[in-house]
Amino acid sequence: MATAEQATAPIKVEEAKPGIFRRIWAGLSIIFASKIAVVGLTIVLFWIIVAIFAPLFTQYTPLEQDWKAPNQGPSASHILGTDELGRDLWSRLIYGARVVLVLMPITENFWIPGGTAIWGVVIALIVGATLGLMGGYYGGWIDEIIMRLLDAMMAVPIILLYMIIMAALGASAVNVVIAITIVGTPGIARLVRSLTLDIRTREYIRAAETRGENPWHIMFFEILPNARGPIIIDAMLRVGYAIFAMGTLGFLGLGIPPPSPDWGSMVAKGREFILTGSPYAALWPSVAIASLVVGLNLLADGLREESMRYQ
Amino acid sequence: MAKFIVRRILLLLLTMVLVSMAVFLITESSPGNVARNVLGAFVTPEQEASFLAQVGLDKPVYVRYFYWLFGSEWSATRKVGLPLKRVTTQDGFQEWWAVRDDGALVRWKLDGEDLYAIGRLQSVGVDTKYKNNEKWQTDASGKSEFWGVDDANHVVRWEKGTDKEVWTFITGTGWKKSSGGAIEYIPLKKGFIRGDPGVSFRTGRPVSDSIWTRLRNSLFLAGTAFVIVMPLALILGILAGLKEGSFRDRALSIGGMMFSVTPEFATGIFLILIVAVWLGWLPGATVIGEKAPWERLDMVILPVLTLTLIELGYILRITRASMVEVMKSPYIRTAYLKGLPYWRIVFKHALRNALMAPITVIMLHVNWLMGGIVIVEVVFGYPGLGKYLLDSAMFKDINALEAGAMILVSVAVLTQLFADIIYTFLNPRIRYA
Repeated sequence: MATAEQATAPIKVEEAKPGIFRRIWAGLSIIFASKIAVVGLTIVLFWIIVAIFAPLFTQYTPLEQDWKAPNQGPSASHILGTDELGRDLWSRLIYGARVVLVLMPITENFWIPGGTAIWGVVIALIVGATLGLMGGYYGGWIDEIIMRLLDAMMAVPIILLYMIIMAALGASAVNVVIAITIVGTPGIARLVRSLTLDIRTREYIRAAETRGENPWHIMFFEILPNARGPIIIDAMLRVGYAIFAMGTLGFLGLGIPPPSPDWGSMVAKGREFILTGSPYAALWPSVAIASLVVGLNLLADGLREESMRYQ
Repeated sequence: MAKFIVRRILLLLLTMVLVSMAVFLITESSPGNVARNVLGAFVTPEQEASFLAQVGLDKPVYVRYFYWLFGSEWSATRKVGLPLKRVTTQDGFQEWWAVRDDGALVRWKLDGEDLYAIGRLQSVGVDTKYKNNEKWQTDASGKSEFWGVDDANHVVRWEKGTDKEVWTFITGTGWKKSSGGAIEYIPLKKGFIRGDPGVSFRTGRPVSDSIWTRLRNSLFLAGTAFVIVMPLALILGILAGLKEGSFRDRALSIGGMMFSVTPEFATGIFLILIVAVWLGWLPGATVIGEKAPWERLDMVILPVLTLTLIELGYILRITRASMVEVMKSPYIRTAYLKGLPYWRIVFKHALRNALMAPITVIMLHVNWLMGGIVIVEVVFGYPGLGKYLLDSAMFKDINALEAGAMILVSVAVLTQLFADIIYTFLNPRIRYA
């Protein structure tokens, strides 16, 4: 009897729920089916790896200044050259990738895991999904108020929002996250609302309602998990937008304040030296941000194409 | 339809009011101080207070908002008791004067205990200065005070015997300390809704002087890019969408995606490096000063090209997606089966429906495009509205920031209205009641 149980138990589990590795493998095989997704994944992984292991890839710190060698081109000691203060551009680039993707500076000495762009998207997702679920599930005047509010937010030019937010709050990583959240929320809320409107009519929602589940439980545990597909692809594109927005804010002088290595502000500073004959300080961060954003978009595009083919 | 348009215009006005209030409140509550920005970090508290009073920043925020929106000369007229008039001098400066009962213009000046009036007869154009002490109004406690127009476009309240010291900051010269200062200042302006948002703290000139030139420059930039992008993107998008999955389709859509997701500043830097630095064909910055951009077209090419590349990819992809969808639809298959020639199916049947989506989406995209214009203007140093707005926001130059923000919001909302109207014409199934 005991032996029979032992023999059947693992099989049952496997049938009920494929293992985590198998599910990851299934996800990866979608990526590997599409060439552009593989290219995108390679670029994104490159940046994630150099960002995580940044200290292993360079002998300099991003703030180390060499007054004898400012504005130099690529050489053996500085692979990508130096900026106007003689700081190594390669180290600034990969530590800059850290700020975007891996670590977020809250204060000068306190960093939390998860890059600034990632946090911006996560918080926008939380706020946007909550608003969208509420609007879509409750309907009526709650929906009306939420939608009118989002309409008004969408009517304000994004760049104006950035300027006002950053002028009001000042430049810091936390405020960049707030700016990304405010700008990203309306789009996510609209997407989640439209998905909710569809899923709300399904039978399992009826069943949950009949069981007398709490509306919040229905929204977050019945509707949201079933809407995850489009939300995940949208989120991937949004990480791209968030990196785009971070770069733009940094370039306008509204982003993470110096001397922290921020790609956008590196370009803004390097721009001043382009016409005096040292283009590298502006070139490399531009290449970095362009490649990362393009990589993310290739990945999202490939995923979307493949998942549509499966459907 | 008319009802719909009216409702949308009301919505626009509501949005503008809300945004203008939000800008005021946010700028109010934010750290930093415009006085420090104008005067530098080494200003004394007395000088700062004197400056803030003269530009009217010592007033509560709702008063300033009211003055900004409707103008301040209404309440000022009541205080002075004479009508006020704005005249433009031969040098192009704007001056405010009070109008006396006999039609002459008059201003006042305090010198020690004495009040002097400066009268100007418009017909003669000669100023006369005379003692005007009978204007003092003494209240019960024996204090004498007088509301009048001073020589720097304020309505001010003087109090006899105080003879306050006043610091005036003259840009380029520095501080000038003088006597004859007033207790209270109201800077005179006509208000935003009558086309005068006040004086910019950053430039010291009326906002309305510079903002229209800046807007014109920005519109020139955006308009040129638009004229180039539209036909090009639509044609390329249709070409890509005709045959989904072909090499041409993949090359165009991936290329378009790359251009459209790369941040504007990165594209701009690449173009500067390639065209201006490496090839040396064009100047890498737009240094046109007060000149109109079309007088130096060589300097405008790169900014226009940057904008073009970014918009091109976006519109191309929308058009492609729409074209792909239409080409898959049953009525196109029917047209094939009927044996119609290929070009006729494309031009006569597919195109009309395929263009519906991009045309409306482009209009909605204007919001995003404005952000691109700001970046492009900063990259190339192009003197447009976006750069003006950014500089004003960093400086906390509230008059200029508000005026620019209002222009941006109205452009955004009006294009959305325009998109809705076009959409009803293109798609007869939609009727706005």
